[in-house]
Amino acid sequence: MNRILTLLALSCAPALASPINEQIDLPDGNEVLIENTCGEITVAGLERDGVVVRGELGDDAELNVSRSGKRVSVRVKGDGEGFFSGWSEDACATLRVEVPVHTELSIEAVSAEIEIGGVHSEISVEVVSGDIWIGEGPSSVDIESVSSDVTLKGVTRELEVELVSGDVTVENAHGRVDFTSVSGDLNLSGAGLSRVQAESVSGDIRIVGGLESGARLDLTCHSGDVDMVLPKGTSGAFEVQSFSGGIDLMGVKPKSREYGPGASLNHAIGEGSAEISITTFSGNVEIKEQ
Amino acid sequence: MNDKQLDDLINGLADEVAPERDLWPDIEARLAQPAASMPAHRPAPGRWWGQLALAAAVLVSVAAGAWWSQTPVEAPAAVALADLSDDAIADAADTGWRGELQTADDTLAAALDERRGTMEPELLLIIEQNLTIIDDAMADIDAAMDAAPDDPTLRAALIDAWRQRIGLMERARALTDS
Repeated sequence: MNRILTLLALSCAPALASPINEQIDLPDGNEVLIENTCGEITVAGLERDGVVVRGELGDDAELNVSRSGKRVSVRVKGDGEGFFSGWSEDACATLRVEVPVHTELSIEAVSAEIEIGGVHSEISVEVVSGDIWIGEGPSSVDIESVSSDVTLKGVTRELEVELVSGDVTVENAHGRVDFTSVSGDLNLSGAGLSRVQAESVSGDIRIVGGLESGARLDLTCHSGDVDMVLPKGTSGAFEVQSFSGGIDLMGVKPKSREYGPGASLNHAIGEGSAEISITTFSGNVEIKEQ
Repeated sequence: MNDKQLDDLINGLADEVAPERDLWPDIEARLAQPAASMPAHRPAPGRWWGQLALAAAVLVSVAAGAWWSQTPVEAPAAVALADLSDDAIADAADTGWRGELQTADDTLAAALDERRGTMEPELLLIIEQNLTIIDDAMADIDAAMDAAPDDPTLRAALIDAWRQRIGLMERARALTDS
């Protein structure tokens, strides 16, 4: 949160022309939609009602702030840009937006750096490129991007990330996690993970954390490695197979697969209450306790 | 069609859903072909799909659903294949799927090549690089299936790779349409 407040105070846009200072009424617990083609978007959740929009607009950008029922829309529209076909810097904007802390937040952008802190509700981000940083607090986060590095400091209930490339680092995760990427890595740490579904073609998947009783994990990589570090006393039934990669599950020796040169291993620790399925083609699998 | 919709479609087909188009006459015809003449998946690196990706997704879904479940889809034409083994039907579905997709691939590549000049170069590069990663993975799996054609894990991996490829194509299509 301090990071976001600092950014709100210090953030400045590169050679953007028009300053923004707009305010609109909105009680806590409602929705805010922010659309910005390019530039920066910084959002802070504050313990007060109303939405404040500050920042700078490029010469060819227009800002529209409006409210319809429970939703406030903050839209920056550039002149003539296409979603994928490029844009001029003059169509960009730096937005510093303050929202009530329990606002349901949606952000849509093409190429923008995005930072969100202090928002304790649902967050949805759809962007083509630009890194994303989200602080602790949201109950659920849904991110869709072509190319973004993503850092999340905590999510209490549900996380869904769909990327083409870019690495994802998640701390203090709880509940459900869905991750899909072609070449990006997932570094996930947390406690009380109940459902993790992670898939990458060439990226690695690393999970450090505790599982809920009855948790279900499905991890799939093609050439990426899978590493899990679980707390001592974890109860789980593992079903691990790799076509040509190695398997190291707490020193238990895998057996040769019926097909191909690789190995497979079905092994339970504790009562085996969690179900963990890991499949790779050539990536290595390592699971250990600490 | 997003990944979730594709997943839902595949899962639904795996349970038992008739395909939108009857694939079985084509499959039946291909059963007579020698295996060596059957086309394998060999997408050209960096090729683009576009407007017809949705149609391709449906094709993949139909074929993959039948393949995944290892049982014939209960379409009327499938009744004629009732005496064939599951493996023979799965192989036939596989063959039909690949052939249909290769045709779609050629068409879509041409359509998307026309749009390349309108796309933002850095993002185009990212998408092409990642398509190449997927294609390389599919080539790995294809090669492995030559050695272990009955490995169900490889089949599932290939379907996953197709899902990734189509998902990426769909995303590119959505971006170019925006």
